[in-house]
Order: sequence, then C-alpha cells, then structure tokens
Amino acid sequence: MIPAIDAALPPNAWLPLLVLASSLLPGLVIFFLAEQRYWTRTLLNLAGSLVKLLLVGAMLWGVFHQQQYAASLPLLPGLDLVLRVRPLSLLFLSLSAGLWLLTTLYAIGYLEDSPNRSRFFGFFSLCVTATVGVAMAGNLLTFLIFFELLTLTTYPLVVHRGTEEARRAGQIYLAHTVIAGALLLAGTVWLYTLAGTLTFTTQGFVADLVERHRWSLIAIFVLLIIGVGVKAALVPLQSWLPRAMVAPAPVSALLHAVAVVKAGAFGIVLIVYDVFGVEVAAELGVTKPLALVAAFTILYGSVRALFQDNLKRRLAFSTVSQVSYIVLGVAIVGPLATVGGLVHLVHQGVMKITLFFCAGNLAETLGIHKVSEMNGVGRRMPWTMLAFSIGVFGMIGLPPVAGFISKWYLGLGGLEAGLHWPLFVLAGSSLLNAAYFLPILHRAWFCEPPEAWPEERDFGGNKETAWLLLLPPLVTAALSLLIGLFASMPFTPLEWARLIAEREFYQP
Amino acid sequence: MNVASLLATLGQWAPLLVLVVPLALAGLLAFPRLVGAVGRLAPWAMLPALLAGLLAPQTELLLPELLLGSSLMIDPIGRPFLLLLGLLWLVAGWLAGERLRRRGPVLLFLLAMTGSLGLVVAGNLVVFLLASTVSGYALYGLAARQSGARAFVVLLVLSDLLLFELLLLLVKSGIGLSLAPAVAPSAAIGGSLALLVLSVLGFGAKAAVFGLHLWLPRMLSGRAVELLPILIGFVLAAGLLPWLRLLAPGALSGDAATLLSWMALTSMGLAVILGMLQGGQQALLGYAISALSGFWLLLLSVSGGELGALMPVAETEARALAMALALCQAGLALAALLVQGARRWARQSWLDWMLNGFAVLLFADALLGMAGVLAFDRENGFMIAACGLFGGLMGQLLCARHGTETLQVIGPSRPLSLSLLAAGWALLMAGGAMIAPSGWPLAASLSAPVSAPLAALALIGVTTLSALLALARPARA
Repeated sequence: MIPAIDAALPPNAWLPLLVLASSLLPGLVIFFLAEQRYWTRTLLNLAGSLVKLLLVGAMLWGVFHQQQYAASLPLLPGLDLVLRVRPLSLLFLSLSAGLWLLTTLYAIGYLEDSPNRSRFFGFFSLCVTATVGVAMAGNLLTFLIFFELLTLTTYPLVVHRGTEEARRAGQIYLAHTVIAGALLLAGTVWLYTLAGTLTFTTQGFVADLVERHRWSLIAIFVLLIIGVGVKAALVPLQSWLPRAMVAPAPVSALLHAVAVVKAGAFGIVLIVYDVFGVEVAAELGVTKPLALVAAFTILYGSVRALFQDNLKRRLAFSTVSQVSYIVLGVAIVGPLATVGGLVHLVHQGVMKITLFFCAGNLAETLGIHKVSEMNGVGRRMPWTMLAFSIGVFGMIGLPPVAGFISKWYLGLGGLEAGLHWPLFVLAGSSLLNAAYFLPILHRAWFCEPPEAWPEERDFGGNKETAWLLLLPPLVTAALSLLIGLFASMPFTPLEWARLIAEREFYQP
Repeated sequence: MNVASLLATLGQWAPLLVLVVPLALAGLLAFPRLVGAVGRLAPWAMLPALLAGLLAPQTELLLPELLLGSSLMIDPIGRPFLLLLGLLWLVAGWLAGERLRRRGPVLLFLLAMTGSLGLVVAGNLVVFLLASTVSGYALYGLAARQSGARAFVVLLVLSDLLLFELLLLLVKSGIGLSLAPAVAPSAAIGGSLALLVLSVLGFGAKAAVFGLHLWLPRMLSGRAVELLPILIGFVLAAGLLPWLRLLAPGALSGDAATLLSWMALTSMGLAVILGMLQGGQQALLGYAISALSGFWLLLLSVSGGELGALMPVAETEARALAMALALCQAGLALAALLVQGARRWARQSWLDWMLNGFAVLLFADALLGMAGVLAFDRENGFMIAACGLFGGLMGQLLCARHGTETLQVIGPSRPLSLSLLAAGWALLMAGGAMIAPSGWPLAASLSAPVSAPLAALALIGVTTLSALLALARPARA
C-alpha cells in the first residue's frame, strides 16, 4: 500500500514532511544527473541541506514554545507511518541537519574530479533522509523502516571505491546490519502482539505488561537492543565499523558522526525511554547489564584504539568507545546521567566529525594514512591540525571543549545513582584516550617533518589544502569549543538535553 | 559616565580583562602579518594582571552562561599572585626574546599566560580546571622538546583526572565549587579522607611535591631559559595556590592533619636529600621547589591544629593572606635566583653584582616571611623541622649557584651515602608516623617558648651565611 498524503494536513504537519523531502527530492534528482553537471549537483546538494537546516531551526523554535509537529500517513491497517517532532527528535535532527550541510561541503571538495559523483551524492542524500526519518519516527514501525533504509542507503557509500577491500567491508557491514534488522523486526512484531501499539510515549508504553509478560518483555528488550546495537557498535557487535574505514572520508564522517552509529545509539535511547520507559526498564533489570556492556565497550574500544597505526582505524575504535558513553548515560538511570548521555549524542558527533574531516585532509593533501607518517604535519597543515587538536582535547574530556560537559554529567549521574564504578570507567577511558591521542599531537606538532610527504598534492600558491576541505573541520572544531564553553546558554545541546531529562523524569 | 564610575566598572570587570588581553593577542595570530607585532607585545600582555594586582578592588564577576556556571574574582589571596605572575611572565617574555617572533611559540606563550592568570582569578573550581588545562598543555607545548616533558604531560593527565573526580565528589556532597573565601569547601575536604587525598595528589602533581616531582628538575635543566620563571609560576599558581584556597588554615585537624604533616615532612626531607645529590644548579632548584611544595603543604596541615575549627574566620583569612604573601615572596626569590643564574644578559660585572645582590635580598626576605608564618604554630615540631630542612636546601642552592661547595656536606661524588640517607629518612618518618601519630619527639625537645626563635634564627642564619657567600662570589658564566 502506498501512503497517501492528506491534503487537509494541518500546517505543522507539513514541516516534518518537508524536512524529509529536502534531502529526498534532491537525492532522487541527483541520481539522474550526468557526471559533468557539477554546478547543478552542487546547487541541489547545498539548497537541500540549507532548506533542511532552516526547517529544523524553525521547528526548534516552535518546540521550545510548545508547538507540536506531527504527520501521520496510513501504512498498514492499524499502523501508521508517524513522524513526530519532540525535543529528543530535535536533538538528533539538529545534529544531522547541521552536520549534513558541512559534510556535503566537504564531500564536494573531497570528491572533486573523482568518478561516480552523482551516484555518491544521490545515496548521500538518501542516507540523510533515512537519518532524519529515524530522528522523527513517532512509533517503532516508522523507526524500523527508516532504520533499515539507512542500511540500504549507506551500503553503496561504503563500497563506493569499488576495491576488493571495500566490497569485503561492505559485505561484512551488510551481513551485520541485515541480521540485526531481522532481530529488530522480530522484537517489534512480538512487542506489537503484546502491547497492541508501537507509538513512542514519554516514559514508555509497556508498564501495564510488566506483571504478566515480564520475561517476554526482557526477551523483546534484548532483541531490540541487539537490533540497534550493531549500528551503535556495542561489543561484541562492533567488528563492521573499523573495517568500514575503507570508505571515503565524508562517508566515514557520515557513518561515525551523523548517521549510522548515531542512529544506533539514538535507537537505544528510544527503546529505553519511549518504548519501555526508563523506570520500567530498570524494574525489569535490563538497564544494569546494558550499562555493563556499555562500560566494557568504552574500555575495549579505547584499548583497541591504542594499538592502531592506521589513523582512521584508530578513530573508528575511538568511536566504538565514545558512542557507548551515550548508552552508559541512558543505562545508569537518572536525570543527570541522561543529560550526559543525550548531550554526548551531539557532542561526540561534532568532535568526531572534526577528527574525520582532518584525517581526510591529511590523506587527500599529503597522502598520510598512518599515525607513524604524521611527524611534523602540524607545520605543513597548521589549521587542520589545530582543528584536530581541539577535537582530541574534546575526546579526552578536557575543558572547555564539549566532551568535558558530557563526562561531567555522566560522572555526576553515576554518583547521583549511587554508583561509583562509572567514575572509574570514565577515568580509565579518559586516560586511554589521552594515551592514544596525545602522541599523535606530539608527533604532529613537535617532531621534525620528513623530507617528502607520501603523496603531496598542490592546491596552488601556499595553500594548506582546498578551502572546501579546510572550512568544515574549522567550523566543527569551533563548534566543539563553543558548545562546551557556552554550555549553559539557551538552545545549546546541554540545555536541550536538560529539557528532555526534565520531561522524562520529572513530569507526570 | 564620569571617571569614578568608569574606574568602578573597570574594577568590576578586572578579572576578565586580565584574561582577555593575552587571549585577544593570541587571536590576532590568525593573521600572519601581525605575528611580529604580537610577538613584540606578548611579554606586555601581563600588564592588566599587574595593574589588577595593585589597584583592582576585591570583586567577583559571575558568568552563569560560561561552562557549567562560572565566576572570576580578585581577592586578597589572589592579588599577590597576580603581581608575582605578572612579573614572572614579563621576565619570561624578555628571556624568550626572538623566539616569540614565530607564530607557534608566541601562541603557546600567550595561552600559557592566559591559563596561568586564569588560575589566580578563577572564582570556582571548574574555571580553575579550565585554566589549569590551558596553562598546563600550553606549557607542555613550550617545553615539548625539553627533557622531562613526557613525565610532565603524563602527570598532567593523571592530575586532571584526580581533580575531575574531586570536583564531582564536591558537587555530589552538596558543597559546590566556589573558591570565594566565605564558601570555600575547605571544611569538607578537611573532613573527608577521599577528598583530601584527591586534592593533595591532584594539586601535588602540579606542585611537584616529592614523588610527583620527576618532571620539574628535568624540565628546569633544559636550554629554554624563558621556561624557568614560567615553571615556577605554574607550580605556585596551579599547585600551591589551590591548596592555600582549599586547605584553608584551620580546615585540617585530627588524624588527617597529622597524617598529612608526616607525608609532607617525609616528602620534603627526601626532596632536600636528593636535591643535594644533584650536580646541576637547575636540577637542584627543581628539588628546592619540590621541597617548597612539601613545606607549604606542611604549613597548611599544621596551622590551626586541633583548635583550627574554632578559629575566627577573620583570623583564618589573615593567616591565609600571610601565607599567600610569604609564598609569593618565596616564589619570587626562587625565580630571581634562577633567572639571575641564567644571566643571558649580564656581561658587565656591575650588573652582575646588582642582580646577584637583589636575588639574595629577595631570598632573605622570603625566608623572613616564612619565619613570620612559623609564628602561627610555634610549638609544632613539624614546622621547626620543616623550616630547618628548607633553610638547609636553600643555603645549598645559593652555594651551588655560586660555584662553592661549602655547605655541600655530602657531595655528589658519594651518591650511595645520599641514597642511604634518603632511605633512612623515609624509614624514620614511616616509623615515626606509626609510633607517634599525635606528635614528634623533636616537638617536645624544642617546645615553646624557645622553638620559634630557634627556628627563625636558623633560617636567618642560613640566609645570612648564604648571602655573604653569594655577595663574596658573584656568578660566573
């Protein structure tokens, strides 16, 4: 059945649909553009991302002032495709819309003169469409649809280079996500048969089932968490992520900061808060094992990162570790930990995309792929390495960069819940982060550069690199600094996360 | 707006202005053409700090939207530190000379200066942590090629982690993070062993207290002379100042105070003994600074004693202020000795003599300041032992700097004996801590009313002797 749009939809219902359309339509058009239509493709890409950003901005303002944005399209009997914009959705939506614009700019610079750009940007736009669909999903079915669409749209991006290594990475990615998708589907169907609804509700919709279906609910929770946990790269489901590093840098940025991994973590947030409700989940005893898995993942990712010489693999293992901060915040169960987890959704995205942009710049400009090749690169590419340094400080959790705010609330949340072990996990992780990131900075800034770089490209004059490659990491680095430094100002991710936690924990 | 209201407004914003000037200059480095001009101006970026230290009224500036809610302040304890740091940074800028004409070094120089001044004007612990991060990592950048830099950054990371835990526990305990004198969380730290350990170790790594000091002697022995005053400023502002603010006189009492006193005395003694083992004067100075940190930790742990909790607030503040002044004097003296030792500029003998005399005068003044602090608890054996040990090391430092080994009782040629002495000292302290937790035998034998004059005389004696030696043999290149 094809969903039909009711022409009499209220004005506020159009906004979520327009947000979807702002990337869907350009994406579909771009597929059919000839390779040489550079300016048309660029115009479509940028127009779509700008429009999306403006629409999200408008909804941000509206939701802050208690406006409702929801659209419902009939899909199956008794089940609608529901798009509903709530504070939690907006947190993810703002992140993906904002970073999409920057990633698009970066990708335009990165893929200049490379083949199959129309295919790339087409899937790129569809991928963002799926991501914003995940963010705005009003029920589990809608979430499932967009979540699986995300798998299908990112696979071509992972294998974009067409090498044997890329195809192999793509196969592993697909195998992981398809199996996980099947489990997610099974959990969703099982839950629907028990609850009769899949609509996301603040504080969950399964409280009435706990007495009669306790073990079924626990099993459903496990199925759903495994279903989304693959994308969130929870150990032991993480092995696809470091392999997917063969993809071009903009795709890595998209996977790690904007779309896939974030969608997985966001899925866990939704399952704990809006499907089960955090208190019911705690009562079922499923949050503690989840917290332990997150803690193990945090430390495991950091330890593995320590031994990687390939820069992107090191960053990938760092993502495995950092994304689990979000899960830990959710699983600790408490308002402050929730704030820490949710705010890290945004903070990690902004910081990690900075690092990937910089890694891409190093690869594109000087042919540097390994940490051991980075000696003295700070002198050759000072702005890129300045942005990289800010990202690194944020990852370690040093003030005033955004990561400090996340770790502060996570630590405080652990103490609020009467748990001291999260403090040790955070301390251990910070220590490991410092151990695998600071040597990079030392090499880059204080070691003597080699006589020649592996594959140096000339961008004309004394340019560090192309402007389109340099601007995005500088913007995201500045953003990482500003959202940390001015964390307590209105409309910052921290204030938004506080608003969500307040509604989750303190409102009846 | 008349002049008076303009000055009042400036006074209110003074803590921010102190930071904004070096930060704005650092921002100008984004424009390559301005690098030379910024390099020339960089040493003078400390002027607002100097002026604020001299003229600004006591003020607290609330910045609720910054980080997790922040505040900056200028208070009586911070003011002498602003003056001290202002002078140290000016000297550092002068010593750095042409090195500040390049973008990287001048950026790090300005960031380290901003962080260092931020440590003094921080009104709460989050701002303090921020300032500590900025100054610490920028300092690492300046010293990255020096020996000891790696040990420094490792300790920096560990120290920041400990302080992060300390801050979380303070907030969790409902104490808050304010450093304003009226609400400083000293009582809570004094009452909790976990908080005390975190604050002693967290700040101790930056204060280079013995055991966490490895970075300092090595970094001081490097070639970059401009680092010498900067490092002294860092130890004082990032390590000792927070102790002074958090472990307010009288905050510690009972077993915690006794334990800390033993630890401080032990570490100080070890620093003194191993300091004597050092061949180079810079390395010796590193150990002297480590001993200084132990000395101040000891002063804080014993001042007030059992009656500390009953001490009136005004007296507590007066003691803290006296300690701040004495500490700054000591810091200035060390810097003067060290920088004079570097004597990059002193080719004429008259200037050599003058600077030498000035350094010694500063040093004598610092020791007298310490003797004044001694009067707080003149019956305490810890304090007497500490003054003796520290005085001895200072005398050693002066003599070593002047190429004489008069006071070098056990010279560097016999490291084994010194190692044995150090081990013996550690054992003695450990045994003493177990046998006599509430006191020390020396305390009884040197009890009031003779103890304070004795200790003061010992210090003055060492000073005078050292001064005579110093003036008799000015430094040679």
